[in-house]
Amino acid sequence: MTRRQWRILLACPLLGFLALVFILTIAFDLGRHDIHPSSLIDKPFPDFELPSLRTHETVNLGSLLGEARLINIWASWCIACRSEHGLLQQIAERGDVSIVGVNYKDQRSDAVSWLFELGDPFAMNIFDSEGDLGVDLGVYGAPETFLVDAQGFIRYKRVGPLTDQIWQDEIEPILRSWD
Amino acid sequence: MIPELGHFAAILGLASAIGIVATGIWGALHTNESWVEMSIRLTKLQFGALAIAFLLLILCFLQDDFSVLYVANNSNTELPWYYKVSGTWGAHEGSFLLWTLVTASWTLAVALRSKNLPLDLHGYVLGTMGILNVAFLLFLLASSNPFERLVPNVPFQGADLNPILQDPGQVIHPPMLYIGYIGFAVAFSFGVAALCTGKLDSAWARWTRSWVNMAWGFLTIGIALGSWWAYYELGWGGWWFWDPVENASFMPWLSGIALIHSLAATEKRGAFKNWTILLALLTFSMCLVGAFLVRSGVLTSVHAFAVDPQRGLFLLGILVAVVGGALYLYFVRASTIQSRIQYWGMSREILILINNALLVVAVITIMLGTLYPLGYEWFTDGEKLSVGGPYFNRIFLPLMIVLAFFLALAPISQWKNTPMLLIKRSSILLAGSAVVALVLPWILWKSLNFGVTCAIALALWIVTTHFKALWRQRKSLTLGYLGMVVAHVGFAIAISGVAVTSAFSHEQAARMQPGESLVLNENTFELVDVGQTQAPNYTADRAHFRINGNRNMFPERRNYPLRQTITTEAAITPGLFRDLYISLGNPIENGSWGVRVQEKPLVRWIWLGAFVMALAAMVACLDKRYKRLAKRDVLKSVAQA
Repeated sequence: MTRRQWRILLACPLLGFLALVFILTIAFDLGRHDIHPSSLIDKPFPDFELPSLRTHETVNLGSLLGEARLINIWASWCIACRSEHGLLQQIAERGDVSIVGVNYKDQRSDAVSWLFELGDPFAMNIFDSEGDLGVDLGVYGAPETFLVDAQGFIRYKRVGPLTDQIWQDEIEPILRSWD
Repeated sequence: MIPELGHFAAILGLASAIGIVATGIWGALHTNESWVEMSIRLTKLQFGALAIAFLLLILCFLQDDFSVLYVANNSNTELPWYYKVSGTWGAHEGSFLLWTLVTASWTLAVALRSKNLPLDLHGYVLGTMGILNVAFLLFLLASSNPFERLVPNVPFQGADLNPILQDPGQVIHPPMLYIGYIGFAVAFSFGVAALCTGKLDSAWARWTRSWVNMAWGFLTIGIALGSWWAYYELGWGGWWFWDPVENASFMPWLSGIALIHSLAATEKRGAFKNWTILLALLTFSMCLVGAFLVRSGVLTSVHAFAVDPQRGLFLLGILVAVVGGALYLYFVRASTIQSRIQYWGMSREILILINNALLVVAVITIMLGTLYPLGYEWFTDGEKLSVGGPYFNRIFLPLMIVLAFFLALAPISQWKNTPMLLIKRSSILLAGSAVVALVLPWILWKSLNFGVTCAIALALWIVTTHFKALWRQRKSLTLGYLGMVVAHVGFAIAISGVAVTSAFSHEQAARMQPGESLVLNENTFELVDVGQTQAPNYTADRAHFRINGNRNMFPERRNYPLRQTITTEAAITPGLFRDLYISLGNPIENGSWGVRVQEKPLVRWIWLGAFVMALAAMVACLDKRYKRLAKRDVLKSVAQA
């Protein structure tokens, strides 16, 4: 083997690895799209028929339309939901936007006592005990938050707890642009 | 206060890792003994600091300190104390702290056990190990701090440990895997050090061999425990799923086998030097790729909460820096290391070459099968594709059959060249094994199957050629040779188990009411009744089955309210020759239950074979040769100086 062929051979592992890194990068990129699926943005909110958490009466997509809604996926077993709960309450007190909760894979009694204990910022709560609506929304884990306009189109999605920063930088500007 | 102390100890660990890198590499560059000495001392500090950090995290769990976010997410006051302890490594942050502690332990072991290594080699090895732990600890502290506080809203109760992890098998499975993975970092560091010094002789191969054997042994145990756990805990009797997380651990396992064998050729014959180094680098690289796949959120995980994308980027950066750097070093320096050796016919070198070729093809197959769906999804903009079991089985199983065929020749083969006569003689044994393999399944399981006959014939052939060789060597038996024989017999045990379980298992799904019974392959399963039981953190439906009128089995369906999770606890009657396996399904209307009953012949042989192989790999390290020749190597290097 000549020196040159030998060099080329020795470079193969490195080149192979670079190809692997390329695949891993796109796979990772893909993973992030799964978490923040651009595919849901600007799509209509999926239709559903589920009981409300407190009153047991059936609600559907029609009950949401007519005004902008901040839709928050939460559960009493979700620790991170606690950390954003204070912020949701401030938003509700200020009356910035009407918040609708989707109580996700939870027990009714746990959820109600959770709201009793920590306060209730939600104008309405959809009781999604089986996670059916969660599947349609591509829910990755609680908490997740969607911003839906008056016509029922999803305009924003956030995976993980909300913070003041995110509220001010990302959600408030969208709300203001609608006023 | 305790979490802050733990956090501080982890930072101290990082500082000492940086110190190890600086002193080790400086000492190696200037062949200065006192710097390397300093590096050795710092490995003790690093180990001490990280051990304290880990113990403090365990303490946080035992004290139910829910002000620590990680504890709040993975523990609960109702959890028994031992699952509080194991909850420490039940999720990402804590398990990564364990990962850095294991790295520190291996570094300490290398520092203490390798006193008679040439100075520059020792310095480079410690320096490389140090670089790895600097990267890991930076990642831990920057994006996965297990000591992070959850203030001011401290929850009264934690979210509970993921119920499927509340199991003894799952308590030791991750640490074993980590010890295995990071053990290969030692081989990686030896490879990097050889490239830096440009010296690769049989002494180098000897030092590296025992570390690789140990690492591989632990990884084998880790994988076997994972498989065993999946078998009894996931509730449907499968023991291998070809899911990406399993594949991530299986690839370094296979390439570790290749490395063990090519190291033997490098030690004894000075052959395949370049290839051996490459395998040492690639085996650990695959461990890192696996860590990336599992922890970056690329693959779906059991964790309920979204993964921070920053973490994946950080890990990808570590991967590119460590593996890319090492392979670049290989590209630049490998041509300085040459092996000039010739071999003919069915020499042991050729057999090892075949072994390596087959294993590398197997690794590439698995890697393609794991990564192809990800690439496909990206290029087709979201179309999902599953490769799954059929693809892997179709390619992997034939490869293993060919591997088993050549493996049987291992004890007959000789270095340089093997006389044809010996090979011809052993083919008589193969003919005998084939006859037995045709008759035996018929007698035991009243059935015939091509794959089973192939596997049993080759397994018997392996066992006979190896025991014959063992008998011939009985006067001058070394632990190294014994380890080889036992490991190969373990492989034979495992392939028999895999083949027979896959071909001759029986199963039946039924709906049963209390009082009804069903017959599966001569065993009668009677459902007596279904009751309720309760434990502090779950409630369960518990069925009572009576088998053949005398033995009782109690499968359960557990409901863990805190995590909203239902798990099936299968009831298993284990046996060396067959397992009976019952899992309880859903309650169906009017008091009947979904039930799945299985009979799985030789399923235990899979794990038995794995444990035999692991044990053998570790026994081989105890060979006196390593000690004796180590002394000689020291004298030689002194004489050269």
